[in-house]
Amino acid sequence: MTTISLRGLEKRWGHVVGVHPMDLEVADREFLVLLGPSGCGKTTTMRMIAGLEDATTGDILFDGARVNAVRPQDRDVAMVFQNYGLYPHLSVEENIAYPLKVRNVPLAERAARIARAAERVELGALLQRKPRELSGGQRQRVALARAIVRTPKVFLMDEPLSNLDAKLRLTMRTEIKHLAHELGVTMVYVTHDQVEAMTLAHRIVVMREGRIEQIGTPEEVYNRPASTYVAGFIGAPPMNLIEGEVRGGRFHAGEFQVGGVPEQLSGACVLGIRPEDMQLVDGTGDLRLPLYASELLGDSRLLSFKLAGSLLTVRAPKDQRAGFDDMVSLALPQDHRHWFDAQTTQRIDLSH
Amino acid sequence: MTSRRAGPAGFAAALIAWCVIFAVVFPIAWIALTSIKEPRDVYALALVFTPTLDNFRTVFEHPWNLGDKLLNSIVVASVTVAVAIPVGTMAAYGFSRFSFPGKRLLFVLIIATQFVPAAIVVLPYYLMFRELDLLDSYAGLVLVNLSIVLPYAVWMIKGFIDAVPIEMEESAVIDGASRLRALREIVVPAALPGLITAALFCFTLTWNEFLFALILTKQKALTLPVGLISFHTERGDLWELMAAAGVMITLPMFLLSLVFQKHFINSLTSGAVR
Repeated sequence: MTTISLRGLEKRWGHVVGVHPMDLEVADREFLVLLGPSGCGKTTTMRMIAGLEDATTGDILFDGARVNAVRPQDRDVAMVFQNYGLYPHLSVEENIAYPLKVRNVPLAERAARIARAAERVELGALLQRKPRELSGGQRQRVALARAIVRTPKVFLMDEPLSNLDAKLRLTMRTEIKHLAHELGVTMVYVTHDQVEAMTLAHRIVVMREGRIEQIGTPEEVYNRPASTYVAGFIGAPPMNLIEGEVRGGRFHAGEFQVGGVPEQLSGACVLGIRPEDMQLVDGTGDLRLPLYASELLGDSRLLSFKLAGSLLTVRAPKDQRAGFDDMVSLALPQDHRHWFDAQTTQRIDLSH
Repeated sequence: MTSRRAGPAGFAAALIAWCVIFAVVFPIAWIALTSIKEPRDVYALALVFTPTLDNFRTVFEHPWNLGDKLLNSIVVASVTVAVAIPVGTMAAYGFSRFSFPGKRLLFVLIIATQFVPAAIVVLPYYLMFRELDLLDSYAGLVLVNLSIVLPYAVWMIKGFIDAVPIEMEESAVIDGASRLRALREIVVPAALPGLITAALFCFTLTWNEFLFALILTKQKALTLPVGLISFHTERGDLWELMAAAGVMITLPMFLLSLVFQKHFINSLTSGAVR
């Protein structure tokens, strides 16, 4: 049972602000992902939770008790670092044993727990090796085993997959998801990879320049992005964002226009629509554009069009045969359109 | 081997190389050879002579008593290193991992203490030690040598600690270790080749230190380099004995280097492969 509460948590170095005052509640056994590009404050936030970084102002609470003054070694958290932070002079077994050794766990119990942790991440055969004799994926497993060998209150993972090759990243992602479920611990996971965030998280915290941009379940963040920033970050390829203006019930972008615009809207707007939410249709549709490029992904095909100076991407069936400059008609279904204020870049809520 | 035809430039380069090698090796070879010569062969510069180990026996006997000086040197150098490396490591760790006002200035000041010529500070040391009753004592010599060796130790070790990824240490702290424990169990082992290099360097510096030992010792704490002067007698310079003593000074360092060569080389290349 561990909940984490961040109350007005802020980090500054002199005049440089790493994290603006933020509030965040992490529920017990929740898998929370901090998502954002480098420099958005996600790692700093995690390091403050770990105690590796002091908060400038604000409070960190574990189960309602303030832990700001608790040293990292006494916070009872486990952490997996991006470059694993293994101890190069110790064998795999000694690496995994270290948290137990430091805590004076009896030798017999130590052996049992090491064996169990190693088995969980399939390291059994490598226990006597040194970290330098391991591949990247194996090192990653050692780091995981060292984290799960005891039962900490909170699990922290800082970009644990970003040093792995693409294929391995996929398997390890699945492993981590299963592990988190199996262990039933509160997990905070930092990544810049939106796919990792979508696949792993119970809730995603999208961060930008030290502030929280949106907090929500993967579905919420995907279906109702709070701003153009979130919309452009989530999804592969991300949402198309078309800048334009609403005049007389129609959305104008360059020489193109789309009808069926909600009547509450007016002035400068951004129309967002996901590549997978558009349809190719016969007839005129909402837009009729010449094909700029067609890229086969295997399971589907990405069609690109030039629209008002930027690219519009559409996910189409893989057998779509349109060639360069062929005219293609697109439907932009009303309930898949997202509207954002061009000034504030915030979502315009049309539900009321 | 490349069998390139040596042009004039190649010939000149080879010539310079051989000159350098000769300049470095010749004195050592001369000392080594002299140490096993009879006194009458010393000035002969002959390469053919009957070798003898008598000189080595003589230097360890009365009145030379090289054994005492050897012991003194070993004690002084060992204690100096035994203090310098842990203290230097902690100071270097502080410089490497913490930021505090005046850090850079302080770091330069530490090494700046060595910009002052020894000949200038040796007299104040003498006066100070006379008051403190530290003249001709191990403690006094160790103190003086520490003042020489520690700045270098701090500078060298900081470089090696800088090269230890901070994540390793943070991992240890997250795993539950205190900062000191992380330093002892994680940082120090990871920086060990560097620490050994620094220790060897400090040992050499102390082992060969001459001026302070000359002025600040009289009899009890005489070290090997100072002992060499005693072969400069009214009867003239006893070159063969001086050479034997010289070999006794050089040999331990040579053996020590051989033993730790592996670590030396490790530390020189460790940055390249990460």
